[in-house]
Amino acid sequence: MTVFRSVLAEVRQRPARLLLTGLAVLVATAFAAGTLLFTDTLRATVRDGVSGVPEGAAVVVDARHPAAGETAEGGPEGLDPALATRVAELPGVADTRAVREGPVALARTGGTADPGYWRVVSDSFQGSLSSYQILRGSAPSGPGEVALTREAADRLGLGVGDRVVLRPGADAADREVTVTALTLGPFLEGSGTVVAPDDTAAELGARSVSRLLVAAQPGVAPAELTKHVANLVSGQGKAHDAGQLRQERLAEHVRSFDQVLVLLSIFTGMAMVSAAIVVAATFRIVVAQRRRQTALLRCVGAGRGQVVASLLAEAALSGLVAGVLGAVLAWLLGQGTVALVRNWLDQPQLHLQVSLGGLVLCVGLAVLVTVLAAVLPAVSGSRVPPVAALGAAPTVDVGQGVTRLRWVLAGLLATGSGGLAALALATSRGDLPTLTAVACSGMLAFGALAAAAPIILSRLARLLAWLVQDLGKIPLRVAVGNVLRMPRRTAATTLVLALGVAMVSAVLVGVSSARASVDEQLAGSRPAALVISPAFPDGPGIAPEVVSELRALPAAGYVTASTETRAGVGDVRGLARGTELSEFPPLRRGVVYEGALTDLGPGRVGLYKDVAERLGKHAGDQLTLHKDGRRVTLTVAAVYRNAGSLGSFALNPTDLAALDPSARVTRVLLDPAPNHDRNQLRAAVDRALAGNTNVVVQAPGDERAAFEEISRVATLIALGLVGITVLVAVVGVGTTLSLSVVERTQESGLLRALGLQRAGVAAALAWEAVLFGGSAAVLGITAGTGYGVLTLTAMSVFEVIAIPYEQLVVVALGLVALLLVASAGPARRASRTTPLQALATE
Amino acid sequence: MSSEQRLDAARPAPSSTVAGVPTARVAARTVDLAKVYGRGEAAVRALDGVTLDIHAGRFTAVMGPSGSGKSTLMHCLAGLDDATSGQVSLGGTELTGLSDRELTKLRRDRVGFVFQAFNLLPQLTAQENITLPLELAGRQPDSGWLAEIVTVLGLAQRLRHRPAELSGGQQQRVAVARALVTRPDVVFADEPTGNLDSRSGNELLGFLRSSVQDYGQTIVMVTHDPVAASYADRVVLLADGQLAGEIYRPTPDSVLDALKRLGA
Ligand SMILES: Nc1ncnc2c1ncn2[C@@H]1O[C@H](COP(=O)(O)OP(=O)(O)OP(=O)(O)O)[C@@H](O)[C@H]1O
Ligand SMILES: [Mg+2]
Repeated sequence: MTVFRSVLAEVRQRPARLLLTGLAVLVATAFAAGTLLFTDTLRATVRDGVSGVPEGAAVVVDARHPAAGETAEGGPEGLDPALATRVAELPGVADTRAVREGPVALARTGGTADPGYWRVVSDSFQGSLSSYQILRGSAPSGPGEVALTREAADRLGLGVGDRVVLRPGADAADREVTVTALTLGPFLEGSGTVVAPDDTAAELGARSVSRLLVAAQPGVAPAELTKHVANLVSGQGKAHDAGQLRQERLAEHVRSFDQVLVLLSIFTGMAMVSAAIVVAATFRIVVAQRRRQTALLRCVGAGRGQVVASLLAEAALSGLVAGVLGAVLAWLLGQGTVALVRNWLDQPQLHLQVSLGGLVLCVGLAVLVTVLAAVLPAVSGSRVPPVAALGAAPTVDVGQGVTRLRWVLAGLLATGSGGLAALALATSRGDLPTLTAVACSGMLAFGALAAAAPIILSRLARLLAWLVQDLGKIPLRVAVGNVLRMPRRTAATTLVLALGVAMVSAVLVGVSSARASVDEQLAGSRPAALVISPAFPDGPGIAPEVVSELRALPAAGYVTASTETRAGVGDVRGLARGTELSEFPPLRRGVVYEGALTDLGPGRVGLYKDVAERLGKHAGDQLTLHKDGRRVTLTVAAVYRNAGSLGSFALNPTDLAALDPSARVTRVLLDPAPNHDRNQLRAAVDRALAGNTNVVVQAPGDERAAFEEISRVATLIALGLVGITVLVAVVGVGTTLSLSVVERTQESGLLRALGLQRAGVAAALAWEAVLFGGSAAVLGITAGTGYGVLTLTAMSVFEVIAIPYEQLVVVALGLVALLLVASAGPARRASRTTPLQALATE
Repeated sequence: MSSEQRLDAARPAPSSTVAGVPTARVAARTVDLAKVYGRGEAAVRALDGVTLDIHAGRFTAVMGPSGSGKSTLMHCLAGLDDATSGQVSLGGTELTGLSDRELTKLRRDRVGFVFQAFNLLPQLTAQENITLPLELAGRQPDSGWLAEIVTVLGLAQRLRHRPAELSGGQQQRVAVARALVTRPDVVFADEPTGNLDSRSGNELLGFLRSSVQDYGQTIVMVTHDPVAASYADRVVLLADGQLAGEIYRPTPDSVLDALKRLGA
């Protein structure tokens, strides 16, 4: 009890101190609680919302998925439309609805087909068996009236009253229809959906019945009814208990959310570990500052146990306060986010889910982490000999004698880390064991760094200081002295910072490699300014008149039309494409492993790398392609990487025609003529193809923009996740500096007495932040880039690995700037020190 | 007038006094200086109308009972603290009304300090501590002068050590070297020997004494120790924030005597 009373007295004396020690934990707890709120909310949203099965359905019959190979010409098998009437006659059935569905091409009036995948679905727009809810406009009623999901309409920039052209198939005619309503569809199912009443939908290509919804009469057990329905539909489709189906769907979603939760937990764990390191460093400072006080307590008879207990009690209290504040912060942020999202989206309906148990768990975790982090500092703090109360003891780190031990430990860990990294590189299989090896190697490397950090950092800080020595004189010197004086303290804070920076750097390396790889892939698969392809993959391809019309365009420079068919060598099958490379020289720029693309021509074949490997063929070898009994023997001229535009087998069109005389033209590539630009070409092509809904015009730039959008969002999310660790670390530096300012009041006072201006005192602290930031940036960026490259190489994720040097420099500068901001408060406080404070002893 | 003034009339004054009136240059001066801490009921008049000249090239000791205002007087003279009323000037510069910036610059260029404890920055070596004021001013140390001080103070072998590796006496000698290296108008020392044993204390005082004699340095030292005070040319006595007399050419006995009378 006395222990607790002394803690409370301490807290009452310096309430801010309690918060300061727990600040890093506060941030980490806020993140942990936020993670929990986020996944809970997401889960609840899915549960309440939209499982894709309307609420009125008791039984759902889904059309049997056609077996592989069955699809080819007959189209997907649907349910018998008459089934609905027969099911309706079953006892206990209140109502039935057949849902029709079919693919369709969609175009704006007078345009070519939209590149997205579109389908027409039938719905009644009313009653309990409807899946689509009208958000705006009125339900389509007559022929020529449809509804669009809001997502789809937003993407195309369409609204109620607009007209669009729908084409149900390659051989069907265009229908111009009016959008009369925007609807809310089932969760994650609305991106390309046209909804219409039964008759209209059937006319627009929703020919097959994909699903039958059955409502039960009151009091009828769904399981029982499901059995009856199942008997009736056996063979055609599968009957599900709707309740069960909803549960299954939900379970699927929840599983994916659980994966998200696991992922988030990893980052939460990182943040917590970082917070623990920061808290330990903070406590070490606090303990050092109380050295005299502790010694005095020991002089008057306090046992070591009592000293430790009081420190741990203080840590627990600090953790509790930080945890509660963190949880409250997360809750407030959650409310704010939900309010924001509600403004943008009307689906899904979001309600912040707060599980009290979870929040209590987070607070408990905060307390635990803080107490655990405080154990070592508390124990070593309690070791103060009572006589220390008598002498003035300047704060100096203890434990510098263990340098050798540190080197040995660091050496061992580094060797282990290097070995694992080498193993991962040697296998480079991209499977889970490889990833585990990389991850373990990373952890060992962190351990090695942690062991050697005090030594490495003091060298690094000295080096950095030497590099910038002409910039500041005394303030810099003082800062260097301060950094070097407490190697362990410096090491702890810098290490956490470096960890954060390393993760940020790794993410950036990943993103930039992804971008470079996609760029290369796009360049490979879409080597032209414009690519024209058929709207219906199974249709007749691009008509010869269209090709000649495109060739004749004055704005078009290089133009080539390639044919395709599926062919094989032995049992290795793949897409064979017939392209006249001489018509389109840019195609020859692809990445080649063997031979040369310029050598392609009649009698020659190019192979996609994977196919070449599977066949064991090299440039100069001969191979025989076969298709439906026809054979062509060709010489391998090149092995290349970008399969998108050339196919698995790149042939000359004449050879392809010999293999498959009915091969269709499936791709036309166009580049602008020398005195025209891409926009002029695009305008000319749009004019030439106006109203042709059989073809899709794509510019690689569009895809590039779409990818950019996705990658931007993904990058932001990833950076947000790893950013928490950086934030914890920055808070840690701020805390450490604040405490140091208190610790160095006398020194600051002395400097002021000797004639250092206020700004000079502030500058010393700013320099210290810069040294922290600089060291962390150097270590973190090096390690992060290294491990980023290692992971990407070992996992063979991307074809190109690109290091974003500029971004990394920005990261380093940003970190330093962030730390300067964090040091601003302490710096101001330090500069307010009066010279007289140098003379005050306690 | 008090008996102490009679006392110094009885003693032969230093050579520069003519008929008992000091004519030496004035290095620092206070006129009717008052310093009040706190307000209302709790107000403490630490200094209450002190008018005093500090002679240039002399060693002045300030003595008095605890709480008499010695440290406060020194802080006001050295530009470390501001006066509540009255005037303070140092080397001809009026301190009252100077901004923090100007005061800082004045301390840097024209004042040296030796405190009782905590004189050195722990992260700097002895050499760096000594040249700190010069570096703050962006000046190059006069290497002859630096070498001389360092040799006389017996620090030549210790320059690369950090304060934690030096004895208390060595640390104080480093502080003295730092105070002298800029050749300031006045060196202020507040109980510089308070933490030292008598041998180190005497060494330090001997050096302060010879810096006055050999280099003409002006020194003001606050002390409780009559023996320390006997190294000075003149002892100024304070009691309750007011001047309570002075002794020229003090001896430990005369000082002890005067203090006893003050206490009575
Ligand atoms: N910062 C302060 N706030 C309030 N009162 C103060 C402060 N500093 C000094 N005093 C008071 O002013 C008076 C003079 O203090 P000062 O430190 O000058 O005495 P001193 O002669 O140096 O004493 P000592 O020999 O004990 O060092 C004392 O009564 C003291 O209590
Ligand atoms: Mg005093």
